[in-house]
Amino acid sequence: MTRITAAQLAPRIDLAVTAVDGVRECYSARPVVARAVEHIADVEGSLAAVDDHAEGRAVTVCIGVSAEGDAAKVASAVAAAARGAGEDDDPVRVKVRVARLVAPAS
Amino acid sequence: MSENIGGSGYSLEDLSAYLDRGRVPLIPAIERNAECQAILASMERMGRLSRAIVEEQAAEPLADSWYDVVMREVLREFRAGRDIPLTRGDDGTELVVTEGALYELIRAVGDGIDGLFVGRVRIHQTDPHAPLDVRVTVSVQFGHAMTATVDRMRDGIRSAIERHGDLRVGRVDVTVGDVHLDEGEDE
Repeated sequence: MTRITAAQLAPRIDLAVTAVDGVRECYSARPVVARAVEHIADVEGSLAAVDDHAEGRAVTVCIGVSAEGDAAKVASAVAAAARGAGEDDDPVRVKVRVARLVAPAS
Repeated sequence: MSENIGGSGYSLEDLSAYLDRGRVPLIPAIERNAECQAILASMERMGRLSRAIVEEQAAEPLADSWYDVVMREVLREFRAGRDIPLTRGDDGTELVVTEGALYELIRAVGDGIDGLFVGRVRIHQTDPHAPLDVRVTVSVQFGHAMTATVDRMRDGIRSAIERHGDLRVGRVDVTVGDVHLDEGEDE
């Protein structure tokens, strides 16, 4: 069976992460340079960063969650969703970065 | 200031203009960027606060360039900074919160306290497993009980941070660096 490519997996992870209860916002987890290039080229890449290394595949996602809940619980559910997005392709490393703890509107 | 915020290609002035025109047309490079979003949220909060100050204290503003000074602080703080572990596991899953997210959280605590404005925030951690030490400089509105207001800020910071995973707070130092006036008061 052909392994799903990083470019194919990233948008699947985006969808899976967005669907997780408690995720308020999703942001680009890709390196600043990649984002700058996208900006210059005026293209929208995936938000999740999927990188293939010698030791295996690494996934990073970046989210915003409510400041009122436990960000760790949401992040844990996001990690599980990211792992499940590739069906039988389980990354060796999943990093969930909570970049914003969003306060409720006053 | 002509900073390229979070690799978005946009500066603080660009974000301000974007907010002024109601985020139309939508710019994906800004909407998908956590640092830009944090700064936009802060600009909205600051806009509300500065309008209130101008209305209440036209004769005695908090500071001539108060908005610029605080926005410079916000810009510095909201650069994502270090990743701080939310929980510790060994299954190849890493759950972290950025230092910038905690700065925003602390500012939000201050925004929720009547009569208090947050100036400078600093977070310090002696090692990755140590509790977070927080130092905040605030301005308290004249007529508000200073000790009670500061206690609310201190308790609010601790409870807001410790709600998340394994995060723990050590020292919380709140310094009142300024007192500002209420409507109709001269000094």
